[in-house]
Amino acid sequence: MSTLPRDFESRDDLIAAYREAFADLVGRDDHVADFEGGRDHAQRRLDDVNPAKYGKTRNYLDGDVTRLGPFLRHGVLTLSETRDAVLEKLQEQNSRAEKLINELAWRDYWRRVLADIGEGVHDNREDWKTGLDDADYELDMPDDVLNADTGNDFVDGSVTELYETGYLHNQQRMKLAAYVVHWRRVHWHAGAQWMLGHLLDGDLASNHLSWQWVASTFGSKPYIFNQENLQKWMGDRFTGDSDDGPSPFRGSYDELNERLFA
Amino acid sequence: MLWVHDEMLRPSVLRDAEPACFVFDEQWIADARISLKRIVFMAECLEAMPCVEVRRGDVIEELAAFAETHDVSMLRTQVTPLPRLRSQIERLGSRFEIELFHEPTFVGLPGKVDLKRFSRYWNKAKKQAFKPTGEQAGDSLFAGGN
Repeated sequence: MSTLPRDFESRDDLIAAYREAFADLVGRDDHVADFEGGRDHAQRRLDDVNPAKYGKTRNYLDGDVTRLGPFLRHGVLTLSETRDAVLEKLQEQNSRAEKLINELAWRDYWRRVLADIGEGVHDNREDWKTGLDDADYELDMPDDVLNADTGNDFVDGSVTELYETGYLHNQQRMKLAAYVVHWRRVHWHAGAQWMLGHLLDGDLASNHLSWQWVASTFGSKPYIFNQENLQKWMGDRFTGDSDDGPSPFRGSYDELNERLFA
Repeated sequence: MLWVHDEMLRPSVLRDAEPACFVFDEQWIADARISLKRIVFMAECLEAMPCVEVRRGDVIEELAAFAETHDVSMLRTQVTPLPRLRSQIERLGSRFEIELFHEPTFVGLPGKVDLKRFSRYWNKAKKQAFKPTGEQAGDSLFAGGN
C-alpha cells in the first residue's frame, strides 16, 4: 500500500510531507516554487489575462505573460476553455490582438505532432542544417551549465531561475537552448531532457519539439541570437557578458554563423 | 473508476460516487528526473480535486490494487498524446474495460492535416481557432487511437 496523505492544513504541511515522501527519488534538488497549483489558482490567473497587453509585451522578460503553462500542461485548464475566456476578453477590450490565440494553437499543434510521432519525438525529425551531424554533438550536459557556473550572467542566471522557480520566460528558454546546442555543441536531446524535469510546465511535445526547432532538426535553420538581441528582450536583467572575457554572443549574425557552424 | 493521469488535474473530470485514483509514477519521476517542485505543483492540483486517492509506485499495479479495494472492472480516463500514458492505457486494457473521453476540442479540423510546419497547420486552423468551443466540429483533439 503506497497511499499518500492529502487534505493538508497548510501548504507548508503539504510541502513537508511530499519532500519526505519523495526524498529517495528527487535527489539533491529540493527547491519548491512559490507558484501554486490547483484549479482556483488557475482560474485567478485566467481572470487576470490581458490579451491586448500580452500581444504587445510578451517577448520582453518583464512583459505581461500569462503563466498559464503549468495549468495547461496538467489539464487544470483546457485549451478550449482558455481560448473561450480569451475570446470574451478580446470582445470586452474591443481588441483584435491575435497573438494569444496563436500561442494556444502552438500547443495544440505540438500535441497533434506528438500524437502522430509518439516516441519518435526523441529522434531528430529532420537532418541538422548546421553543417554538422549527431556525432559532432556531446551527449551529456556540461557540468558548468548544470551547476550555473559558466561565468556568463545570462546562462547562470537563467539556470538558477529554472532550478528555483520551475519557470523560464520563452525568450530565456530559446536562448538557453541555443547556447547549449550551438555554442556548447551539446545534442538537443540532452538539453531537452534536462529542462523538462525542472519546468513546472514541462511538456514532452512543446519542450522537445521546441529544442528541435532551435537545433534545426525541426525547422529550416538553426536559431541563434546575438548580444544586441539578447539585451533588447532582457532589459536590465542580463547583459550576456562573461566574467573571463568577451561575451560569446557578441558579433553580427554573419560572424556568429561563421564562428558556430563553419 | 476514474484514472486521473497527469494531463487531467481538474475537478470537472470527477463524477459523484465514482472512485478516482492518481498515481505518482515512480519510473517516470526517476527516468525524466522530475523535480520536487513539479511534484508539489501536481499534489496541489490534486488537493483541489476532492476524494481522489493519491498513490505512488508502479501505475499499473497501483491502479489494479485500487480497483480491487473498490471491486470495479471498468476504468475511465482521458485521451492523451503522451507515449508513456498511451502505453499504460494499452497495458490497462488487459485488466480493465476501458472508456476513453476527450478534452473539449480546440479546433475541429476535417481529415488529415499536414503537420510538417506550424504554418501549414495554422492555415487550416486559424479560422476555427477564433470560434468558441461550442462551434467546433468533432470531439477529438487529434485524430487516431487514444
